[in-house]
Amino acid sequence: MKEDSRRSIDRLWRHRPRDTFSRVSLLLLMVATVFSWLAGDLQVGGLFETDRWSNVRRFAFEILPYPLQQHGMSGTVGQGDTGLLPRLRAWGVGQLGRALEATWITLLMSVVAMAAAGLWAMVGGLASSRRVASADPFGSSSPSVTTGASRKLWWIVRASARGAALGMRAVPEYVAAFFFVALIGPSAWAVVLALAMHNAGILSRLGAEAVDNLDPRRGEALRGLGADRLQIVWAQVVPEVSGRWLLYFFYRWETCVREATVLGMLGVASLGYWIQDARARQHLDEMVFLILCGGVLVLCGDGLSTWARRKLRDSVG
Amino acid sequence: MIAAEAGVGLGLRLRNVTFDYADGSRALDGVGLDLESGSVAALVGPSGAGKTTLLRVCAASWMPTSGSARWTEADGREHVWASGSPASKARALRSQIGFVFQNFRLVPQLRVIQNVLSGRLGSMSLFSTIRNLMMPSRELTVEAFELLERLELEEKLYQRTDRLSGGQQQRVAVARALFQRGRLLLADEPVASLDPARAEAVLHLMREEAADRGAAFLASLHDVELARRLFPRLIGVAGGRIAFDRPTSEVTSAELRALFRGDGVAESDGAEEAGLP
Amino acid sequence: MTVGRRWTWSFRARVFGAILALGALAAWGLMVGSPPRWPTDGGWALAGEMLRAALSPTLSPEAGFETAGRGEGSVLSEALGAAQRTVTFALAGCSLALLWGLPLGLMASEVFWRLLGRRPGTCRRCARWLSAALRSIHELLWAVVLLAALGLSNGTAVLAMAIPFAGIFAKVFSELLDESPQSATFALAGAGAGPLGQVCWGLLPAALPDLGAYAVYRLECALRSSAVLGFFGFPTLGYYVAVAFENLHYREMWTHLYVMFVMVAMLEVWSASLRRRWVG
Repeated sequence: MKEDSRRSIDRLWRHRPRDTFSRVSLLLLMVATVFSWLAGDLQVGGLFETDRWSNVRRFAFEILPYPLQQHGMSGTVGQGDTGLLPRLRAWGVGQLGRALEATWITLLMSVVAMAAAGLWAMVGGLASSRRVASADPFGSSSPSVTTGASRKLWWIVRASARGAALGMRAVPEYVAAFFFVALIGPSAWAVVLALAMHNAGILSRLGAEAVDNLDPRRGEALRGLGADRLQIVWAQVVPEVSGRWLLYFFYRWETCVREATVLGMLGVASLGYWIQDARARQHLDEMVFLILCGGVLVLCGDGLSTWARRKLRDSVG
Repeated sequence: MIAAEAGVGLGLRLRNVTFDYADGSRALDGVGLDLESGSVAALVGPSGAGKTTLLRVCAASWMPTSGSARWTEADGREHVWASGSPASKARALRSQIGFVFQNFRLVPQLRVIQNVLSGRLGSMSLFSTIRNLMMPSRELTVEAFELLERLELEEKLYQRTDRLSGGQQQRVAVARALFQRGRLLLADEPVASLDPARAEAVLHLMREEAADRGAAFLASLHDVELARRLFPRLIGVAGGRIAFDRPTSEVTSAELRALFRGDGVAESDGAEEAGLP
Repeated sequence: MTVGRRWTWSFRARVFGAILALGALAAWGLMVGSPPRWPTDGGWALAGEMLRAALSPTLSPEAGFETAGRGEGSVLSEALGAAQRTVTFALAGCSLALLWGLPLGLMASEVFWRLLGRRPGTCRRCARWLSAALRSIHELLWAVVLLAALGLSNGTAVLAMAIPFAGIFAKVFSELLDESPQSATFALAGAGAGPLGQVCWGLLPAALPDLGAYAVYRLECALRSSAVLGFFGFPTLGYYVAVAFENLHYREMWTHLYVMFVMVAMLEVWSASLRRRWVG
C-alpha cells in the first residue's frame, strides 16, 4: 500500500506540468547574473579602498553650501563684516533663483513635448488601429464587401502609421536628442522634439491597442445605423477610449519629466545643463542642490500624475 | 473517544451570540449552540439567514458583537472568544479548527499538493514553513497523496490548482481542511459544486475523518434532502436566529417548509455577502 | 444614470482641453526664452551626413588622428565587448535593486502590515518616502553624484542604476501586492498560519507572476540605462557612441547603435514572451 503510493507519487512527479521555457529562461538569467557579479569586472572591491573613503569624506564636505564650507575652514571666527547666516541666505537665494528658473523650463519642456506627442498619438493611434483604419471600418470583416483597391490603400495607411510609430519609439530619446541638437543646435526645442517623437511612438501603439481592445459590438451597432467612419470614431471610440488614453498619457508624462531633467545635459538651459555646468566647475554644493530640485520636480510630477490617474480611473468607474 | 462520551462541557459552546456588520445590520441575534466533540450536525436555512456568519464566529475568524463562544479541549484547556478578543490570540485556537470556504480560497498559482499542505501551516515551525513550500517532506507528500486518493483526486497531486475544474478545486479545499487534522471541522457549502453522487461521497469522507479523530463536524448545506439523509442532527437558521435544533428524525417537513418560507422569523437581509472581509 | 455618464465624459473632456491649453501655454513660455530656430544649412548638412552614415555602418575605424592603434575590424569587437559589459552592468544593477526593492516593497504595502497584524504606521510611511526619494532622482543623476563621491569605477555604474531601480521596484511591487487577490491569506489565517506562512504560502505565490513580469520588464529598462550610462565614461555602448559622435565618426556611431538596437530588441522579444506566459 505505502509502496504503491510512493510509486504513484514518483510517476506523477515525473509527469508534472512544467513550463520549460520559463524554467530555462530563469536559469539562464540566474547564471548570467551570478556570472556578472563574479566575473563581470564590476570592480566592486574598488568601492571600498581607503583612498575612496577619503574621497567620500571630501565629497561630503564639498556638498555643503559654500558659506558653510568657508566657515568650516576658517574656524568659528566670523569674517567680521557679515555673519554666517546672511551669507548662507545670500547663497540660498542665488541658487534658488537659478534652480527655479531651470526647473520651470524643464517642466515647460516636458509639457510641450507630451502635448505634442499626445496630439500626434491620437491621429497615429487611430490610423494604426485595425478597426478604424480599414476598408470596412467596424465591419464584420467579411471580405466581399470591399474592393481590392481600397483594401490595399487602407493597408498602406495602417502599415505606415504603425511603421512610423515603431521607428519613433525604437530610437532612444538620447540618440534622438543628439540628432536634433546636431540639426538645430543646442536649444530647448531639440530636447522637446526628441521627447515628443519618442513618446508619440509609444502613445500611438498603446492608443491603437486600446482602440482595438474595445468591445466591437457597439461600433458595429452604430455602423448598422448608417454612421460613417468619423461619426463612429467621434460618437463611440473617443468617448469610450479617452479614459485609457489619458491614463497612458499621465503615465508617460511621469517618465517624460525625468528624462527632460537629464536631457538638458546635452547643452540645453534646463536643470541638466546647470547640473553639468556645476559639475564641470567642481561646485558640488550647487550640483547637489540642483539635483535635489530635479528630484522635487519629479516627485511633484509623480504625485500629480498618480492623482490624475486615480481620479480618471474612478470616473471611468 | 472517551472524552467525547464523558460529554459535558467538551467541544464548542455558543451562548447568546449576536453579530453586527460594520454597517450596523444584525446577522446573528442571540444564538446559542452546543456542539460536543465527535458530534455531527448540518446547518440549513434560506440564503442570507446567517449560516456563513455563524460558521465564521464558530471558527473564531469573526468575533461576536456580544455573547461568547467557548471551546473546551479534551485535556480540559479552554478557549473563550467574545467581543473585543484580540485576533492574534486566536491563532493557536484556529489551528485546531478546519474550515472549508464556500469560494474555496485556494492559491490558484500553487500546485495542488502545496494548497493541501498549507492546511497544516498552523503547526509548522518557521523553518519548515519555508522548506515545505519549496520541497515538501516525503511523509507529508505521501499523507497528502493518500488523502487526495480518498477524494479521487490523487492524479492531480502536482497540477496547478487553477487548471482544475470548480468541483475539483472544491475537493482540494476539502482536502486542505481535512489535512489540518483539527478538532473541529467547519464547512460552508462544501459540496455546492459537486454532482450528487460525489457530494454524498465527500460528505461521508468528511464525517469519517472527523469521527476518526473525535472531531466535531458542522456543515452548512443548501440541499435539505442531502442534509436529512446524511446528518443525524439538523440546525435550522433563519433571520439570524436558531429556528430549531433537533435530531433529524424529529424534524418535520412542515417545519422545513416554514423555515424556507421565512414564517415567524421574517427579516433576512442578505448582508452575508455584503459584509466583512 | 445619464447624468453620471455625462459627467464622466465632461471630466475627461476638460482634462483633454486642459492638456492642450497647457501645452500651448508652455510652448509660448518656451518661445519667450528660446525662440525656435529653423535648421541652418550647416545643420541640414550635419544631419544629412548622420542619416547617410546610417546606411553604411563600418566595421573598421574611420580615418582620424585618434584612430592610431585601432586595427581593421576593431569596431565590431569594441561594440561586442561593450555590449557584453552593458548586459553585465544591467544584470548586476537589476539584481541588486531587486534585492533591496522587494523587502522595501513589502514594507511599503498595506497587505504586509495587515498580515503581520499591525497597523501600517511609521514604518510603512518611511518605506514609501524612502522609495520615493530613491526613484525621484534619475539614474544618470545618481551616476553624476556617485562619480563625484566615489570616482569612475564600474561598481559606480551598477550602484547608480540599482538605487533608483530599487525605489521603483518598491513602489510598483507594493501596488502589485496590494492589488493581488488575498482571499487565500484569510483561509490560511483561519487555519492558524502565522504571518510568515501567510506571506510565503498565500501572498507571494498569488502575486509572483505579476512581480516577475515587472522585474523582467525592468531588466529591459536597465539594459537601456546601462547603455546610456556610457555617456559618463563607463565602458558600455553609450561610451563608444558618444566618442564616435564627438569625433564625427558617424559610421562607427551607427555600428554601435545597431548593436544596441539588436541587443535591446532581442531582450524585448524574449521578455515579452516570458511576460505573456506569466500574466497572459
